Amino acid sequence: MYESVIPKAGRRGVIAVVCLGVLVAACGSSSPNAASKTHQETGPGPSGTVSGQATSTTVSSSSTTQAGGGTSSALASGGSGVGSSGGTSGSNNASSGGGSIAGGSGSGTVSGFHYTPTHLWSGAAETQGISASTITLCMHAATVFGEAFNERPQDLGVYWDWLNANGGVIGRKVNMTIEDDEYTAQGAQVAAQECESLNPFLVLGGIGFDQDPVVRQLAEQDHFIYIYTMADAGTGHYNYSFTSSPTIQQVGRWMGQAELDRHYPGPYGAVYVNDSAWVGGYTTYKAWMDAHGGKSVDQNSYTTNSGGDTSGFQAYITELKVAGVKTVYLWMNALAMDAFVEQAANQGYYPAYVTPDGFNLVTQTVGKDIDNQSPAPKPTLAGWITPAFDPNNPNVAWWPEEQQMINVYKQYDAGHSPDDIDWMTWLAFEQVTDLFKTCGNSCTRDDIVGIFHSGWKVTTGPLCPVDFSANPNFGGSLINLFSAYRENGATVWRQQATCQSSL
Amino acid sequence: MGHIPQFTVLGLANGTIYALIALGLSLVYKATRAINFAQGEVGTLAAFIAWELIGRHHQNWVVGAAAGLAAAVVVGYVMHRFVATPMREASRVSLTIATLGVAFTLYGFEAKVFGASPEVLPPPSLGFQGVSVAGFLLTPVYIYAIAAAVIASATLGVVLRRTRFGLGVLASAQDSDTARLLGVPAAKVSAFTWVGAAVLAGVAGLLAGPTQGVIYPFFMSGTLLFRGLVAALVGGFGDLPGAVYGGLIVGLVEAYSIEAFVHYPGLPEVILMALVLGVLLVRPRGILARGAA
Repeated sequence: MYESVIPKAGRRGVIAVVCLGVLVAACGSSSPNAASKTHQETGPGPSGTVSGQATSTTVSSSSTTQAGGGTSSALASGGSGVGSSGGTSGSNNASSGGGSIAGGSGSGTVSGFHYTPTHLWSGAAETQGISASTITLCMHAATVFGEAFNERPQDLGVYWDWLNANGGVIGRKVNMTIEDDEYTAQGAQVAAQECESLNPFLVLGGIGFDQDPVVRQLAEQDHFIYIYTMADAGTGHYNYSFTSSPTIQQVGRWMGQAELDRHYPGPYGAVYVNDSAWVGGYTTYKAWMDAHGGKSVDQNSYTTNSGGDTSGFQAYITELKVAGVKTVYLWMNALAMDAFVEQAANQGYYPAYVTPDGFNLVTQTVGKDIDNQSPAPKPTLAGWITPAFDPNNPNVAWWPEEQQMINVYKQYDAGHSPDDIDWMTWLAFEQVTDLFKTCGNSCTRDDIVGIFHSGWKVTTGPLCPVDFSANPNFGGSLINLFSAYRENGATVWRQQATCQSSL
Repeated sequence: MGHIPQFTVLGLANGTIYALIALGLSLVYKATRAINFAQGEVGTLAAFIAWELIGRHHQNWVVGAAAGLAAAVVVGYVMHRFVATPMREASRVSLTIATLGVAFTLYGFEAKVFGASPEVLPPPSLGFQGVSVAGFLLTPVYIYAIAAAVIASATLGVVLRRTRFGLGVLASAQDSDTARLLGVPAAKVSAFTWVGAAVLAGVAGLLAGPTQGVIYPFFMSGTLLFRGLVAALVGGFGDLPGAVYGGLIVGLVEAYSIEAFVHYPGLPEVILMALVLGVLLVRPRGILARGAA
């Protein structure tokens, strides 16, 4: 069904979705001088069953839209309150589709949140993208690269299939449209404008350090809500843009910490993107290395022009190899990183790698060169915002949730073997769902922004807690640390540290 | 500039791949006076066909490479039969533009069939990791590239200068009408030219894929074709030995400029363009041509 519904939503798309979810996950304190709302959320815990009403997902006519349909007999108390916010104060005891969303994501964590709606929109604009029965979302993501991540378009829609079949959220089904951003800044701008033309309730941004800052700027200019993945800190203050991920500046520093504290051997080197959207993830890394005994990075650092620029790799690899660099910090997009590792192996160079891009592209494509059995002195070290997908390891705390997701995929997407891309997507969408639960039945765009500005705090499943109380735009301040391991003939990420503010 | 020996070997190794591309460009130019802008994309297609079998269906590298080269042969013959032959009387500019159309057609085909995702084409194996030369590891893919460049240039040299057919090809390049009147089989000459160029492109694609790390639609056209064109220009378009020398020179200039300006991405490409300008100004018929401008 999804083949005709969603365009190629690739790994990037998934990641983007995941990130979105993460972003959505934070907000706390309320503003005292404005009308406010309190939403009480109740619902099943993470171990709930997958079953539910077998309402089939309706597909819209758009070839890029996955629609929840409008019939929705299961959507209980849904949309009656739409459009009523904007100054309404008091308690809003909304339910999430009559509690029919079995197996939801740590639902108790969003209970009792008190927030103050903003006044950024008025009239019909306030309820754009949300009706009594549906919520329209649009996401930009690099779907063109779906195959690189073993991810088909229909694989991305499983969460919404399941959610919609079980009553949706706040009594509404979710229509998700995915626009391909081609993994470029220019493509992201076009994709975001396509999203705008659909008048969605929210625009979500997939992973892409090149793309997200551009769309963030567009969101501020055109006044649409934008929830995106990890990006640079930018100006640090936005009215319409929110992320529950850490900034790239934070991640750069963390990776420097992790590299030295775990005794990754020097000399150290780096290859990074020398672009305003990226460079912050290198400067903080370098600053940490300079201050803690890793100064060799200074003379062994090489730059590329964009996230996907691979043109200098051959020479950089030669330079690094000749210099005897044993640990290389890679700060570029995952596809370029993939090319780097592969090309280095082809040139007989096997350093240890450290990277903030801890998702499965690297594992799936060049696993033999990054795990603890490769000639490298240490396995690849990576950081990421979602916990490692390690379904064969029942010792991790989130194992039940992994199994729940796997069971849902068996039910809704039997031909697909879920991987960590699906895992990230799943958790991201759960966090988006939590945002709606927090917003309640009468949710408007002003409510959503108000939730962030009121300092949303939430913990969605095994995602790290997010907290927007210190900064309404950036709610993430924690990271997971992974290491690559060989297991049963495949390379997997094994989590080394969970939700740490210091590595 | 502390790693000159390593970068010399790197430059020469890459230069052999540029030489293969330049040889194909020069072969077509020599016979048709047209520039074949599809040369890069034929190589990309060969690499993708090989990847399909090697990477996706886990076939032996030789099987994948053979299939890739077979695909290149088919494309070369199609270009001869359905592009070059019907356009025999057309202007050379028209034929050149037609090859551009072929390149974009192949690009569309690759994107549709194989997708836009980068893929890893495994390198060929020789049963050992490689040979260290001046501190640079010549991996099997580079050894194959050097061997291929030597074999291709030697074969072309022998065929074109030591066989009646080859002399016919050269005669056609000089004056196709007269050559035809003298009995040179124009159709066979054309087929040889386009198929030969396509095979050279295929070999370059199979060897360039592993050295670039990943392959993706247009990867040859987007990066390596430019260097092949520079090599052909430096060597003198249509000059086959010049194409080989041009490839090696481009490889060396690129390697040295990267080494010298390693912290200035993009500058090596500018230096290559400066090389082209310099050659065109000083020796417009190529570095091996007798007599200067």
